[in-house]
Amino acid sequence: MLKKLLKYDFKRMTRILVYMYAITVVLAGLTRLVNLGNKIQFVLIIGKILEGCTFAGIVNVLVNTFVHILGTFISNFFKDESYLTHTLPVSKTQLLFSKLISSLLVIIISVVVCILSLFIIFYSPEFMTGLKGFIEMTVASFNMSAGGFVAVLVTLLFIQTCALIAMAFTAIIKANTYNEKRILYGLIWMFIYYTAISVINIVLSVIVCALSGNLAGLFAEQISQGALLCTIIVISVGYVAETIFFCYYSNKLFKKGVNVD
Amino acid sequence: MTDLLSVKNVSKSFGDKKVVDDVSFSVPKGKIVGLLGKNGSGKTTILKMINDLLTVDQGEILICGQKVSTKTKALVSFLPERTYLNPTLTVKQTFDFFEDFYSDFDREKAQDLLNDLGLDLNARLAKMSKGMKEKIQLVLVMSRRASLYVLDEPLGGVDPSTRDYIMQTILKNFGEESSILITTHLISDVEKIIDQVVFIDNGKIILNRDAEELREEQNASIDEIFRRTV
Repeated sequence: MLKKLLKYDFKRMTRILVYMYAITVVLAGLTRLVNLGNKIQFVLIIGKILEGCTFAGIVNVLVNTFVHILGTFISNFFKDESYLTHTLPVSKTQLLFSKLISSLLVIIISVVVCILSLFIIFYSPEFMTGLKGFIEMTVASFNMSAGGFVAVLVTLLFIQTCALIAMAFTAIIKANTYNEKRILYGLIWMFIYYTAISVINIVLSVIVCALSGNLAGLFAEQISQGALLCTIIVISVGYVAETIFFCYYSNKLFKKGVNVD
Repeated sequence: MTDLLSVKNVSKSFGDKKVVDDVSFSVPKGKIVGLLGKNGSGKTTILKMINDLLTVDQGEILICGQKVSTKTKALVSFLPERTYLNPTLTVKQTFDFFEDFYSDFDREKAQDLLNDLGLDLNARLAKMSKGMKEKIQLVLVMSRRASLYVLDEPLGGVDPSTRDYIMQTILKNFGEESSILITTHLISDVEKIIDQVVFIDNGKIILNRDAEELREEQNASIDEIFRRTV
């Protein structure tokens, strides 16, 4: 059943986004083509306009990804469509996990499309050398390779995204336990949860750095390698734990039952 | 007689307002039970609790002897008042959806019912009128070989010819092994088909009788008795 739910959720979320992906990539391709042409004033202007449109497309893809994820979640679970969702012979856990997994997949696709569009516009051997040089310069003091840095960054962003999606879903479910002012309560709970996880991660980082003798490095003008490593590990573990907590809590709230309008 | 649905001492409040107050009734196998009441009497709230769309404050709801769960949802075919289908889908896609999730969905039957409506399988729901979407929902719900059909105001807000179509569809597709719980305030339209009547007013059951017995005893139609009682 989870597989079937995933299929429908994924289709639902990407139905509109797929056109946005196509438009953004096509705009990026056109920008590239125009930029390869003659450097006359008119072509340069068109190139800049297209570049602006591509950036707008990228922002549009990212914003709409989150709007679609949250919109689909709310309409499936708490609006008219919930009359079908909650009467399907599938467990609440499956319903919830299907939304979480499909949301993450959609986010990954959107990010890949955005990166691809940027590469279409800017890719050249010189650009890649420059980018690599910039990353190497940034991580030089941490005794880390550029590839390692990118891998850590991508992993951290992925874990953080998981936690934020789970957090947003929990806030929406929590808000819908109230009989009125659900949007307001949703925003309040999102703020509370986000503040809580940020504070927990910071406090834990400080404690772990203190226990491992890296506290001074954490507050130094340039963070020390040991402190950075401690912080990355603590934040990663923190986000994973927070994701598990939010999944558990939202599942528990769901199992208690919903109160659909 | 086996009860397909048992509602036992169920209560539900929204804030300080008690909308369902200690309600008990049952739906036996093979019967059509009419839950009849005025607007706002608590009919829909009861159906929502039966379908896990609202939590029960007090009491118990049993479907085929089991508490409301994933298992019981496979036995119940629910037609809500609202249009619950994803508007971006076509009729064919909604059939696929029902076929994927309900093992008792009879696609052939759905296709036959759709042909009666003269609708195209590839028609998109977003381009249909509210009435047409409600008919598609009825087709989907009645095309399941469910044990219990729960129909919330299926005749509300539709023209007389559509009412006839809905009544025919319900009767044509209802088997002896299944039961129907139907709510409505348009009693004269359903009175010919119901076996048992449950009158509800202000969240309380005020009458629960066999329809035929009641008619004979009072020498009046259910509609007339309802007007006198509620």
